[in-house]
Amino acid sequence: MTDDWRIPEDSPVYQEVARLHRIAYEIRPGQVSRWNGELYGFSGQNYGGVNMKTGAMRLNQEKVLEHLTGSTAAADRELQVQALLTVLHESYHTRNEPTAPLEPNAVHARPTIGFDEGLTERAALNDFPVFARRAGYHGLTAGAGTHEAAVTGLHNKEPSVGSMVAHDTRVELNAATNRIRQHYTQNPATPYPARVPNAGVRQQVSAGEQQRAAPMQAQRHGPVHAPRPSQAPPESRPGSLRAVTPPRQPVGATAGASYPNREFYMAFSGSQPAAQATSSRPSTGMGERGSGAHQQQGVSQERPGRPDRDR
Amino acid sequence: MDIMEFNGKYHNALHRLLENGLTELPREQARLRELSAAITDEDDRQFADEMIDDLPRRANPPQPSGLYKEALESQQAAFFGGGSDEERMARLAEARRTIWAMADRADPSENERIRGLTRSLEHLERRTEELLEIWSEPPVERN
Repeated sequence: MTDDWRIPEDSPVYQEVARLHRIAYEIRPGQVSRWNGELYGFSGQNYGGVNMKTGAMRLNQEKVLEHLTGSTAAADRELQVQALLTVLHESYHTRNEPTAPLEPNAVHARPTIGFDEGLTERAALNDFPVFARRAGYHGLTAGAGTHEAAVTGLHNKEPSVGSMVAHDTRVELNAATNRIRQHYTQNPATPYPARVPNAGVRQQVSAGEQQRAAPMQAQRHGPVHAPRPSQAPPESRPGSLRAVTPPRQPVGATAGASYPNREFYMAFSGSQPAAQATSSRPSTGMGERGSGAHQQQGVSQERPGRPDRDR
Repeated sequence: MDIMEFNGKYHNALHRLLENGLTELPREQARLRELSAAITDEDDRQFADEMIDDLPRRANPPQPSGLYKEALESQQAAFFGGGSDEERMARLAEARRTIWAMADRADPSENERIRGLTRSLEHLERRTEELLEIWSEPPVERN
């Protein structure tokens, strides 16, 4: 934005935003850090946000930056709550990749933007007490239940986003289940003609099993893609936030490690797409022990990425 | 049990009370006290206990004003309404301006909370624009 001004990294307000960003990551760790370390101020009728393309953060001077004082002394508490909520919300937005090129079941859909937005605001509201306390802004509460009461009242009149999503999911899932059931009733020997929803992965699949095996192997055992320049972690940039943002980690590198059961993770991580479950032989991570399924590509967890020698 | 896990369960309890009334308040508080006792960090445990003490106040909040409800309805209508990208963006921007103006004339006790309702609208507007550029192919449309 042309009227924005860059905030120097050695300024107190920059340091405070960076500190708050770090605390947000500490209480709710993320996959990546998409803030590129640049902070801009502006005036106007917006709170600001992190640009998904550049990673730069811009925050309203009067509504946000002025109230990040490090304490609640001599502060307008309501303004300070909104300022802190904005930083927390922004930090949460930087925790995720905006796209998932290697997730077979991921698709780009507009409703996901609103869904993510609603979840992020809800997470920020819920986490606010812990965040404010950790950050030294003691005694602040976000709305103290009034907002929740208003939302509850509104949703008693109209369907809430939660119940609407649940209803739509139920309808779609029942329809899909019926289609599959009907198919196998009529054609018990033929796999259901499913396809991988993610077009990028679908192209790899159609190009051959070998190409599909490579990214899946990488997803389990190492970095899956190099960060774009605009997404480079701040700590890799000169004079930037070495100490205030967590190291960038590839999405798939450690995700499974936090699950107590690796097979559980593999089964529900999306690494085993539903569309591949239509093979005439079992190919999921679960239930394949003792089934001879090690002959299948994509299931040999002990020998990942092993070419299918049996076809 | 850490403070974030506790916080999640605390807010689940809070939302149950807000939806169903205060009958279960003593039971919810007792359940939360059992959880807080399992928090290993002493400072976090003390904070959890403070949150539990504050639960009756949060579960029985002052009623939002008519203006707040009006602003919330504007927010939700803009957020959930359909239409083309252009129509959605225009509607989001308009609702954002309307709610910001409502906040300017609201009581100081709630004006900033009303203004805060524009945050999600602003993000949805901006992120729709940014993500449609980032995504390598057009998004799928619902049937």
